[in-house]
Amino acid sequence: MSPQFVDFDADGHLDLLAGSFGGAPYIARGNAKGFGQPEYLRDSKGERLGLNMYWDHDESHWLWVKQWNAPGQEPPEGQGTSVFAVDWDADGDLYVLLGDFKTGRIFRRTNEGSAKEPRLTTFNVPIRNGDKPLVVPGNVATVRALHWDSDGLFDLLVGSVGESDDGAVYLYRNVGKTGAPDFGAPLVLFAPAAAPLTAVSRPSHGLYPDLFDLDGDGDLDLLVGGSTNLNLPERELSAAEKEQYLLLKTRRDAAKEASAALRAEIDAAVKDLPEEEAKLRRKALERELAPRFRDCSRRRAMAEFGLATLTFEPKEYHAVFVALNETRR
Amino acid sequence: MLFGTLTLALAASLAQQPTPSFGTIEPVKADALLAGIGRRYPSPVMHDVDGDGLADLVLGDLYGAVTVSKRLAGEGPPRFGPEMPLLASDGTELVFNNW
Repeated sequence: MSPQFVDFDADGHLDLLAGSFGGAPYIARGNAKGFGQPEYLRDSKGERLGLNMYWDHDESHWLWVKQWNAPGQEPPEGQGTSVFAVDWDADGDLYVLLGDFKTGRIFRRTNEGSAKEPRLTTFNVPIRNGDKPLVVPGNVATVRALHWDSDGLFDLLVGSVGESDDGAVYLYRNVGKTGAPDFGAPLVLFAPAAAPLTAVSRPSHGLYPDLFDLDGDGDLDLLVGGSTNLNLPERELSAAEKEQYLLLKTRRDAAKEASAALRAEIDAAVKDLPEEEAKLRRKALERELAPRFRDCSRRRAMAEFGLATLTFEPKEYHAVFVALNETRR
Repeated sequence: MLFGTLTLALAASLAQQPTPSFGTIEPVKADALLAGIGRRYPSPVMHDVDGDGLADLVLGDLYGAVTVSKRLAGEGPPRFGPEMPLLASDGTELVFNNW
């Protein structure tokens, strides 16, 4: 998803851009009071953006299309799950980058309008690395444009999906000129895991990075979210571990029960209503109770996080990590 | 709270620039919980949501939820508050139709 706060239409209000797993980029337009609800980011003809594969929300299935391919090009099947707006040609308006979750390519949509009235082209042009399309190893979970160094040119920060546990974070330095970006070989900011993980010590699959000076020392630190897969060999637990296991299991089960109780509360509230009314009421209640569902979900996940090295079935954890920049300058 | 250590030395070098290296990687906490826990593929971005001059931790996720953990004032390492939904201007939660 990887949100981006950016004034996409230069109206003085920050908008919120975000990709989606379904393959459509969205924009929540900013206004004087905050944000409107998200809508499709659209091209100059009013069509949603996408690569050549996306989820059809109306029909609930995947669709494969060709209409957004650049003229004369047949790129492989692509799912555009990430979006980022950047002033590609340094003329003051914003282009849009789309990252491909399936093939590792990054495409761009040119802004043929202006900063205040963006008009994005209707087809996807692959970003190139020399005479070939730039292809990110392990495919693209997300792409962000930022200034890594002080050369005045934006660089690309990319989190890769990875085949299993080999997601990584790459930096593609812009080695071109102002208004004419070009990218070299990637710099590995966060390498794939070297061996199967034995603890939830780092994200290893589906990496979503950002760079920010968290500690205020003047350099960029790495924030990265993603999942960690664990599949530990079975072993005998010590007495202390067994005690810990029981404690955490109790917490996890309590969170599961609390969530089930909320679900039962909703079921009871809608059970005597006509079908359509029940559907609407259910949706409203789910929204109303969302914070409590989230609380249950997080408490359950925290207990499961604690159980990570005490249980031995394959499992997956999701969290955000930070690594401070220690480069000596 | 540390879960192992991983020193990130970087293979490539940049001409006339120091080779970047990062220290120990650690989970980020949002209030008492780990940031992003209980969600799928949390995607962080730092942004000053409330205009207090401190960048907050904004998280998206696979399901289309966006939350804000406000950065707490004070010295020392950054600390963040609980993950709260980012609200639209009409007071409802911002929900991206992610899939």
